[in-house]
Amino acid sequence: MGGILNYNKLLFGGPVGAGKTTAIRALSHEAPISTEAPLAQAMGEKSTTTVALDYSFLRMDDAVIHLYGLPGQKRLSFMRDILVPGALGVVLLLDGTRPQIYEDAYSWLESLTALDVNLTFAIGITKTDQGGDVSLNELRKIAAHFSKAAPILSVDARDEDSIKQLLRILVALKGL
Amino acid sequence: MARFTVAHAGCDEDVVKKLNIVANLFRGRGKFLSVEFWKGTGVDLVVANRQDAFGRRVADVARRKHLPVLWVSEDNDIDVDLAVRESIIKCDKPAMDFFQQFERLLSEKAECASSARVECIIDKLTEEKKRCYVATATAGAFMNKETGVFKAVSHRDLLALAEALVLDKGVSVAFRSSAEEKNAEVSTSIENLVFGGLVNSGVRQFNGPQSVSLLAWPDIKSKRYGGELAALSAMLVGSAMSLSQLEAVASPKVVNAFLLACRVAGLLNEEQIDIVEQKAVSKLASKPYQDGVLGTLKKWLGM
Repeated sequence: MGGILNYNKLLFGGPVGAGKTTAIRALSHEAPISTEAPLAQAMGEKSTTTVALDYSFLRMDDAVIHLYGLPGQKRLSFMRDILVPGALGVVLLLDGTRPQIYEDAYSWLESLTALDVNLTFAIGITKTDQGGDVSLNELRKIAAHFSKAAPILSVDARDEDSIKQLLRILVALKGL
Repeated sequence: MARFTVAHAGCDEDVVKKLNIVANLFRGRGKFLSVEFWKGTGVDLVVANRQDAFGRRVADVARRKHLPVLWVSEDNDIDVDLAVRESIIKCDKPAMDFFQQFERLLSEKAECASSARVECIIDKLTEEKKRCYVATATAGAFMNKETGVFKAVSHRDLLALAEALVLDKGVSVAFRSSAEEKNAEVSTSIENLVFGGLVNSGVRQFNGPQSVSLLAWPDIKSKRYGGELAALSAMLVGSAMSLSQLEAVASPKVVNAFLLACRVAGLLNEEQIDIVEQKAVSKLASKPYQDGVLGTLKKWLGM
């Protein structure tokens, strides 16, 4: 296993534009290290994308938790093999305005759980205020293929508390 | 004596006579019915002539204000679709038939007009299997049980609806075409809206079975109760728990609103299931948390 076996790490996954970099910035008060490159074709207000990973950390009383953002592009999916092993859990962010949200959910969950069948994950649906037409129940059915207790929450990636709620869920699941 | 006001619009003299006969019949039942020509929306029931333009206009206004409408039709052929969705009676029917229709419509209204109005709405939302339109006097949202979301034109509508549940303001449930739903672009989960409305209201206690479990993870956001909601959801997904077990990890009002919200959204499994070992639950409920990084993270998250 060639991954970074640091057990104090939380991962943020999801397709391009789902809000992974934004969520890490909202959560961590430290300036994140990003590897942003211009998008060949701008996606709305988004003009750059992560090409390796985002990194930041949470400094707490007696511990540091490392936050990694996995790149959303398929050609960079090998980064998941490196980062997933040993993670506390994964926050999977899905863009609620993308018609392909169900395919995104399935492919990400499939690839993440293939790396670790016992992986704890929480799914956050972003941009639900931007006119998407997401069926929560459809997503629940997809997530249930991979975990009996698959949490799905609508979140605002820019809002610290919204992302913290996903972490609370991960912690609650880890405690069971 | 219970008092009701019935307004008529576009009805001929014969129909108005029948309405007055019905009012007299109601007096015998200890109810006072005031029958008057339509002047505005402060009434309990509207009787409108389907073949009259004014009658149709008044019925439109009444439906927007969620008042019950009894259509009076002169046609021999009554529109079957309309008859399924709304109350309709032929104008040449005897006064007794009018009386029966009034009795049904007014009893439905009285049932929901009591102090238990919110509870009545909660029951209606729970019973709804597909989709409906939930409205207050000024706002409304489409509830879709198949997708699990409420959709509205603006966040303000969703907030107004949740607030109406808190304040026990008039909330009604009606049918609206799916074409109108297309204009609604803002959404929230069913359980999130209901929980937000109920958690600070004095709604009745959850009256379910001894043990419950969740069919799926509820999408409820709350800055204040986030930790309690995460713990309740984690415990209940796939495992049956008793109310007392749940109240060990969350306050009774949060447990109550959480269970009612999940019930409305169709996420609650209320079949009697064996309860998991008390020991396992109390471990989660009372243990501050494991040592190490998860314990520190839990503390940092305010859990």
